[in-house]
Amino acid sequence: MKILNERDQFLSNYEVFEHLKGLKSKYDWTFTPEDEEALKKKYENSKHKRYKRFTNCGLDLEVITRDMTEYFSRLSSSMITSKEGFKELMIYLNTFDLMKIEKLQIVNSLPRSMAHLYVLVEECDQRLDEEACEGILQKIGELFPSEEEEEEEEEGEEQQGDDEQEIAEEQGEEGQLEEQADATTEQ
Amino acid sequence: MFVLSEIQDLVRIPPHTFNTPIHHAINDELHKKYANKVISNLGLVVSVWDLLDINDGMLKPGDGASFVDVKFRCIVWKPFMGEILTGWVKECTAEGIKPVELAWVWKADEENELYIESNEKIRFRIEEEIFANIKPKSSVEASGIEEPKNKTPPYAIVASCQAEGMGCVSWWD
Repeated sequence: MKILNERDQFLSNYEVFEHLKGLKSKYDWTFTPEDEEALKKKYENSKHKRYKRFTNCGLDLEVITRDMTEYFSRLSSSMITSKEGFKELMIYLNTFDLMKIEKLQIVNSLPRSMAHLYVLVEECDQRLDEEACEGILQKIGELFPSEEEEEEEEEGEEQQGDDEQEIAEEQGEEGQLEEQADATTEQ
Repeated sequence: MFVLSEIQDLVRIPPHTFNTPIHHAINDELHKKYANKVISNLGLVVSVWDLLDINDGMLKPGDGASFVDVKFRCIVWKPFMGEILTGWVKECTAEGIKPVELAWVWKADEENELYIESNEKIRFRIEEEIFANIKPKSSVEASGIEEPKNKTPPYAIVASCQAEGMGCVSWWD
């Protein structure tokens, strides 16, 4: 193995996410029950009922695809849904005097507050005036409306799920205890 | 942050894949070898991006497979110093900040106490990266019979939240 060029190009989260989604649909991998449903629907009308998910490329690729897609879908960068929105944001960012890496970080994390933007851009207060900062934040809000309310709801659901699991576990333990008790009485 | 790295490697194409198109077979073999692996001083390889150059296959006496020299680009995850990332807290340990009730406490001022709890969204700045050599120490380990107990990760990242705008995302919104 020889590494010819360590850093040929930078990729944004959006591009990597799209690439992994391509892999996922190519190999028909499913990571959640919803994926499974979608896949069934996809193959409902086709003659080939066989899924192509068994491939030669090894388990590791599937593992990392699962982990990365899960991570990306929880990140704010998953709000970029189309190439057009992505392009428009880049064109807008190009009007400012920003480093390539800073633009990349802005696209990756889509800052929604001034504090977040100040962290991403070095010496933000000297290089950009307040209007420019607000312009960027506004543009992001315009192109990718935040779904904070929905997120909160999702969190609530997750907690409920945890509770249910705990209850199930407790019940399981009780069941075992009862079995033990039965066993002792029989003796 | 993700980068594309250009790598050259000699790939063994097993005979049972000779009937598939060559770039499919090469892609599969490369994924088998590189996906989800850490290359020392480079980063974590996610997947192959594209194949740049495929040379003619070579044969070795005593082996039915063909060996092909390939140049390809792959997606590598490698954060740079000072990059800001967002993640979720998996575990809080005693190293670093004072742990109280298994949570990190940041005393912003005397009255307010801000907690960093598990599974909370957190923003941090990359300070340092550590590549560890995790070669197996004995033949028992190498053959996979015995798993070593305290495994050091092959690629660790040290990050800090000690700046304005860092820490739990919920503090700043």
